[in-house]
Amino acid sequence: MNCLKHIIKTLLWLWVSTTTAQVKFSGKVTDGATGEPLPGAVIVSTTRASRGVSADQNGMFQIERDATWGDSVAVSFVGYETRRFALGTAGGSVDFQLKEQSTRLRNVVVTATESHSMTSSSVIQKKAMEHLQPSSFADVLELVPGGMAHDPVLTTPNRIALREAGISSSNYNTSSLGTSFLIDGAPISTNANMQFMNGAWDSQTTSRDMTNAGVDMRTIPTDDVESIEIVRGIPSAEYGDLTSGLIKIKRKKGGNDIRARFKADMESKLFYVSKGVEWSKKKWTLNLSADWLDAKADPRNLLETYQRLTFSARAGHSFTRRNMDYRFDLNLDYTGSFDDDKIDPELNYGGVDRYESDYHRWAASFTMNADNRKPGAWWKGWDATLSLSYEKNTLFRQRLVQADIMTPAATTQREGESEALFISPVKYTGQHTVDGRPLSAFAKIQTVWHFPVNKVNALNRLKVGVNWQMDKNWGDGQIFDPLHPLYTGISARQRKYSDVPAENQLSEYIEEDFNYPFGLHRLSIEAGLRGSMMPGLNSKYALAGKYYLDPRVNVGWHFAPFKWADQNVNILLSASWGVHTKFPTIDQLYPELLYIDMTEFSYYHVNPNYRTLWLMTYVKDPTNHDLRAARNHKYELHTDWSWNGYRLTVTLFREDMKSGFRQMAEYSPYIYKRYDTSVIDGTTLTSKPVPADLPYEEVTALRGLYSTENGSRTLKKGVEYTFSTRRWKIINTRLTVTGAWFKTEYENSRDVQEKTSQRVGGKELELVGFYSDNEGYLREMWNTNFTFDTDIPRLDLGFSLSAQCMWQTASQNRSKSKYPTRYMDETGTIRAWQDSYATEVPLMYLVRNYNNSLEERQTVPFYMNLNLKATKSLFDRHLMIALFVNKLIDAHPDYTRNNYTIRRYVTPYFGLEINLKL
Amino acid sequence: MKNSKLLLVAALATFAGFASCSDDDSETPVNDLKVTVTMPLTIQDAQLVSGTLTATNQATSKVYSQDTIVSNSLTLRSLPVGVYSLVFEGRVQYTIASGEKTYASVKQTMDNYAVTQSATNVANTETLALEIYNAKEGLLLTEIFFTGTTTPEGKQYSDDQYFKVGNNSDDTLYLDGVAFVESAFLTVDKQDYTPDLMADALSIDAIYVFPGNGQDYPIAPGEEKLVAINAIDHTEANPNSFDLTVADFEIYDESSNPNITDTDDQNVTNMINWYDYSNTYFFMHNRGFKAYALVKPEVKTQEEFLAGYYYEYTYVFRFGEYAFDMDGDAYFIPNTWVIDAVNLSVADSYEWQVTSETLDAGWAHCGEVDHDQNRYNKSVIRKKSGNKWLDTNNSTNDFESDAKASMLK
Repeated sequence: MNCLKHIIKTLLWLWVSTTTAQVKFSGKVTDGATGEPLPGAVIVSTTRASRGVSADQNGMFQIERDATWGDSVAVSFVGYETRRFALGTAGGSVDFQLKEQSTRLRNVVVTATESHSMTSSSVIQKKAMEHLQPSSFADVLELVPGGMAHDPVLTTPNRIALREAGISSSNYNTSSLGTSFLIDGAPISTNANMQFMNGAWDSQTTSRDMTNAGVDMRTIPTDDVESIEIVRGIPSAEYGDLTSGLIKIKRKKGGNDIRARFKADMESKLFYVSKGVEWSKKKWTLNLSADWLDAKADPRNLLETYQRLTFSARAGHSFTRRNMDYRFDLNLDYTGSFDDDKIDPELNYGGVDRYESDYHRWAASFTMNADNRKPGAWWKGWDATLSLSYEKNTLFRQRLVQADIMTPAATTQREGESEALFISPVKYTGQHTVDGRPLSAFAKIQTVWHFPVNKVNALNRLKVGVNWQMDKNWGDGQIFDPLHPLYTGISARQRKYSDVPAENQLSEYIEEDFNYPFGLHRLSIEAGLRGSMMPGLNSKYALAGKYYLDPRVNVGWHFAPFKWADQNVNILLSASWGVHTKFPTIDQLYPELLYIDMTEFSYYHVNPNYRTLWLMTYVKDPTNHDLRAARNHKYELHTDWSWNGYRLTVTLFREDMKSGFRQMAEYSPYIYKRYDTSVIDGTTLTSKPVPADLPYEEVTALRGLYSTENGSRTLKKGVEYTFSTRRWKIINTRLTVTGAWFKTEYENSRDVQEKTSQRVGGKELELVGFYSDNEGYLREMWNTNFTFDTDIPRLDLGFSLSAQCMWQTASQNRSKSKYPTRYMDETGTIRAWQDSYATEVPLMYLVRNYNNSLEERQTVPFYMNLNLKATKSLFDRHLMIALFVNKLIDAHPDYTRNNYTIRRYVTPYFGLEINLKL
Repeated sequence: MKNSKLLLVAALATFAGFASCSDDDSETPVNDLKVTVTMPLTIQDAQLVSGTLTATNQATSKVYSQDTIVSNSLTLRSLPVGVYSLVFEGRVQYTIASGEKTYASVKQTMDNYAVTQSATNVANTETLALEIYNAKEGLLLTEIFFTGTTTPEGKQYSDDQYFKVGNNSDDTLYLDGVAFVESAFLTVDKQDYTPDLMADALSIDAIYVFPGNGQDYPIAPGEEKLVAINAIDHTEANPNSFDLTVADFEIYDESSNPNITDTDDQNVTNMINWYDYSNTYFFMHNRGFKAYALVKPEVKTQEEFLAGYYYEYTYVFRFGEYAFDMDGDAYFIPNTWVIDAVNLSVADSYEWQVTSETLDAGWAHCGEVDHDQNRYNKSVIRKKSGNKWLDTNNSTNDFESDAKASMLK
């Protein structure tokens, strides 16, 4: 398991001294079956309980044996059988292998397991993946506490929502933006993603906008995965630029086989092929793989499609030289992700309407690590990662546009009065392209130290590292013909993304992992501190030179194992606290200029040559120089019990992020001249009327400037639990229970400005209200999945039945201000609100419609889906067939609300796959 | 305040009446006539605010009038004995279901009333049962073209919406002060709006008023006036459309927002916006889910309407598995103001009438289903019976649905 890495900081209070070591041993504790290291495994003297050490993150340990140690040790680890090993007399290298504490016939776990760390994190192994039969990473989330099987939706981007009951609002996307995805140690950065279409209002375009919303999970294939760790709690200080979660995906290395997979379900087909090569002697590995996913919104709809194409080449080499284990990995990847949405030719006007979004990502990552195996060395090794990715993303939309006559074209680039050009002809094929070419570079260097600690055989490990992340978009940006725009009347102009500055992040971290035995009890502390900043940012920004410190601490107490019914009971209690920082994206830091155009006069004449429209244009920069990073504060209590192959984990958490990113409007008055065209005598005109000849009055209009602010709060609270049994012998069945109760609150953390939307007495109302409570959404859910998985090795058959129960979902809204606290009149003056205004025209239009019944808690009661999955291997396991049927049986009882009976229906979803292994 | 002003006006008028009476020839015997009016039964808590009783001597054509009202009675003093035509026209205040006060015009007439002499000097007495009266009665919506046309490519084009107003009476009427309104509610979305004003009032989201000071915009018997949402030559943008520069009126919404590309044809008279729930520009629901009506607001000013006829309602909003009480707001038009109302809907989605059934008991349509692609270029046109339009207050009977728009020649 590559999991836990939570190690402690606060090295300062460790006083260091040398001991009078007599014989030094060092080695590694691993899972005997898989070879995975077991971090945190405890090695204790069998003669004297106060003599013990624990293994570090990589399962490595060292013992400096003196007379008090005796000649054998007991090695234990949560969930594993404790074993005794003799220590030789000579010292040197010793490796301990443990057997998992269960009577399992095979080491088959088809569900996620909770990692053995002090914070909450789910680990999903290859075998679980085979059983799950996913099409993309999004399907894997079913296994995480709180997750359930969902029908895949592959024709729109899939956003991650960890520990959330969930709402869909782009104002609360910081959670998904702040979930970091690492593939073999290299992050997928979305900081330079600007693939949104300016001015778009059509759902084909807007529903697929993932800007500032993080990673689209559809683009991540699962077939090469060796293991996935989903850190829901407090990740190590090693990981940054995140607020809400960390996903670490580790892919397969080596093996000497050819694998192929073909999967078909109701919406999609997936082909995968891979070849692994391993030169064991020279310790070289090479893996090649390719994956193609073809999905349709509906099997009958050939027009709305999604395709993914990936290629991956991964080479690895390891060798040992002078007590150092070296490992080098080089990964080259290509991901293509293509959305297509056309309109039925019968309804399409000459076949021109279509939507296309192409995403190409080329990535290279190079990692090196060195482990010093020399006993007693202070310096334990180093890691380095260098990754580069380049994307070529194209968003293309084409429509037949039918504009109104006298629609002005958005061409003015400067402030002031100007005569507008009319869009002509009014009917044309409008095109809009967004060309984005994000380039991202990431470098990381980390060294690991180990200081012998005075007296007892406590263990500590110190990680120190530096990260640098750079994002830049080299694209041509928003490309459209302003005289024939796809979206008429937009307040933006063409913009080249390559003119937008790059974003840099520099972080340093230090983390100490400290284990201190108290007899057979053990105290573990992982304390880290991460500092990060954005170098090179213009000093106008509040973020320039701002140094954020993220402390993250996990403290755990491992109780001394005790016997119950002849088996050890292991108990861990831990508490965690951490601060997590996500810097704004390029789009949030450098929004494009806003062009506020106002019609000063619009004169229609039957003769097109006399038609005139004059605009007053203001050019505003919506950059919010006060923008800060989003910060999430997490608190967690975690406990982990295991006995005889049974295991229970419970996590209580609270996450509060008050500075989530949000688009907010700020209104100001803009002065323009309102020309009186009634004085024009249309019958005597010989040329276009000009403003100089017309009387006018100066008036103001209130217009909003939208900018990104730290105005959204997301408060997540909940309990996550997992319980798993051993595999019961006779029926070869194991039960896994996972579930969660989430309560998530979403609210605006700043006053919201809203303009009235009526036309009264022939004029647009120019009034803006300031409302303190705009939204407050409380969402709750409580679910539990009961998965019975049966493995019959004799038949090479595995199947599982998962009863996925949603006990209840609930939603409630906080009170929303009906009355403003202040208002802005048409001159821009801000005045206090008085109750008497509620019946006065026109101020009464500032009173918003709001009914406090929205504050009532509405619940949706129980429902359950029963999902079946089965795998069967044939021909000496060269062929495996698998199928799944979700919602094979369901229970969705009717219920009554507000005197309406609400009936619920679901339809089953199924798929089938064939795996070949040669 | 308002009442005392009215009394003052009444008092002045009374003086004028005395003055006109003073040069009466008193050769014929005279007697007093006391007329008591009773309030219409169709409205609640009606109170007479003002009114004038006129008695026209059928022999001499001499007119006698009185507007001093005492306990719903008016007395004409010293009327020469003879046969009279009596007319009472007045204004009442009454209460609608929500408790709001409003006004309506009332009228009653009686012909061949004989004023007789009385030896005991006992006055003649008569009772007139007042009825709600609308001076603009006879105006009708004769066509509503809300679907728009289609371009040669088949794309919808909805800037060419229009409606027509006809005069079905035998007299010249005036459009001055008449308003065109759009219902706030949809015929395809029945909700338990509370308070429920439907029996007494029509909830609206937009009101546009014909200009004029009383007699500026006459409409002859049998004549139709064309009101364009946008009075331009639409063939310029869509060859399949038509020229609406011939319109008599247009709805123009001026805006500083260049996205709102409403154009003002100076040769066409603009309707006056009192209120529209949206600050963009007015257009009719192009799937035809609303009701439209012609009304005569019984208010003196736009301000009086804006301040006094706004209400908030609640309803239960259902969305999938959720149901919430919701709030909304709208203006209301008392049913007594309504001259003509037409509900529009489509067969597969129709849920209810958004006007009182006394105003319109049916609905007209273009297309059969929601988003019907066949609805374009179609209109609802009032049927004719002889040279009169059909007006049974049931749009299902009165209109030809799915008719070819009259402007599409």
